[in-house]
Amino acid sequence: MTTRYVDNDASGADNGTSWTHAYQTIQQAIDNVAAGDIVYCRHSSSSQETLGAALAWDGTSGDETSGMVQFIGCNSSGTNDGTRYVIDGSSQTYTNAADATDFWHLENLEFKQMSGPGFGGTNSPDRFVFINCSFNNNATYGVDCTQLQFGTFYRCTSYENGSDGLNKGAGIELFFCSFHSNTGYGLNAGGTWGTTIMSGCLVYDNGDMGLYQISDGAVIINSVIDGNATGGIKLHGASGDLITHLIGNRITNHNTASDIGVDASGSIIYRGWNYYQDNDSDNVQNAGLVLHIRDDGSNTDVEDQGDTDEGYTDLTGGAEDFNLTSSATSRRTAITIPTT
Amino acid sequence: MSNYAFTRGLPLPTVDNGHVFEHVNFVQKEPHTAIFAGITGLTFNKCNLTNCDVPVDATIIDSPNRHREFCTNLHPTWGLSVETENCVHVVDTDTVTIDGEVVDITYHYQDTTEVL
Repeated sequence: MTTRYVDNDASGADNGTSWTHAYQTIQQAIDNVAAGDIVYCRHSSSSQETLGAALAWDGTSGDETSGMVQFIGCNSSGTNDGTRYVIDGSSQTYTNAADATDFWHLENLEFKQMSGPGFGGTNSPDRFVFINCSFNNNATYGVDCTQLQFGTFYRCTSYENGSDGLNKGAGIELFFCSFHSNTGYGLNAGGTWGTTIMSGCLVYDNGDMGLYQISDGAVIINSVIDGNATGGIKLHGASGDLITHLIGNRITNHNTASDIGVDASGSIIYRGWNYYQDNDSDNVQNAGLVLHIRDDGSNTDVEDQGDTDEGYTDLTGGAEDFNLTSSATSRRTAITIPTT
Repeated sequence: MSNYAFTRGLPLPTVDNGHVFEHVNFVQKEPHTAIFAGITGLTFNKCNLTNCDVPVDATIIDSPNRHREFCTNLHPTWGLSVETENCVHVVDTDTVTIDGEVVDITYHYQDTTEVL
């Protein structure tokens, strides 16, 4: 397990052994890593690494013995404070990760202006972890997970891409991420196998549906799906027996004609404490079966109460308080979610 | 930030000469679509200008300005021109053959990378 360094402004030996002798391109680090290695990346004076050639994430995989291969962006002083290492595609073709590339951890990286997806996988790279990464202004998808399996995204953002914010992917987990202002869907699960788990995310202002073809059995909780062009959520509806959980979400402002808040496509949904407002058509439609979170079967969702900027609050009457405190303000804990 | 991509179906905003756009998606359906014609001194900073022809005096900062043809088979809800399954955007096919007879073909598509 080796610690390596990337600094596109370095002028030393270019061998990645220290900040002084850092690799001058991230590709060099990718080409030289072994399982368990950590690669720190910084711009000591510039603001980004502009690619001079296609970028190929086809390095050696991490493994369960030696650990993940980690790329971690740092500030100009070399400290991990959330500053991202920016990779600007500038029209270079982006070559995707190859089959051998599993168990990679990418933290504080930004992928922008690629002529394809910001980041993608071919031949089923598995078990990627993305923390505080940004995928923006790429020609197609922010992230193309068509072949990438079991990815975890934590505090990432995908915005202003030429197609979907995130395309497909099996077994994807998303925590405190944002998908917004993309030309296509915020997230297109493509109906692929593997449950999508989404918690605490923002999906808004996308040119098509917020969440599309989400596989049955998905868990979507405490997220905001707001103002997407053709509707909020559309489930895939391919399975007859998997239950999709929709708990504590705001699904609002899908107000183009006939837009639906949640189109269940015949799926079984388990719902509770969601808030719906200003969806042009039904808030929830086409559910094969609806299960409510209360054991008496009563509906705890709040619909069209005119409350357009609040999270879930007590239903009028006050008896349906399912939280430890009755104070709506105290129940809402501010979480910073990146949008750029 | 806002989204004026063609998929959004919103008209472009009315702005004055010298307006600065930051973090706006202006992706257009067809290559070389003129936007904000006649408006001078515009600045586009960190915007997506795919398929856009901006005024010649506009300043473009950190904003992709490529031109590409979208495939309707990839984006069936975008209101693109109808294409056959075996369209010009096919980049790969998976064929199932039984007893020498092709019984199924799966097409893989890609939006055209660059249109000059």
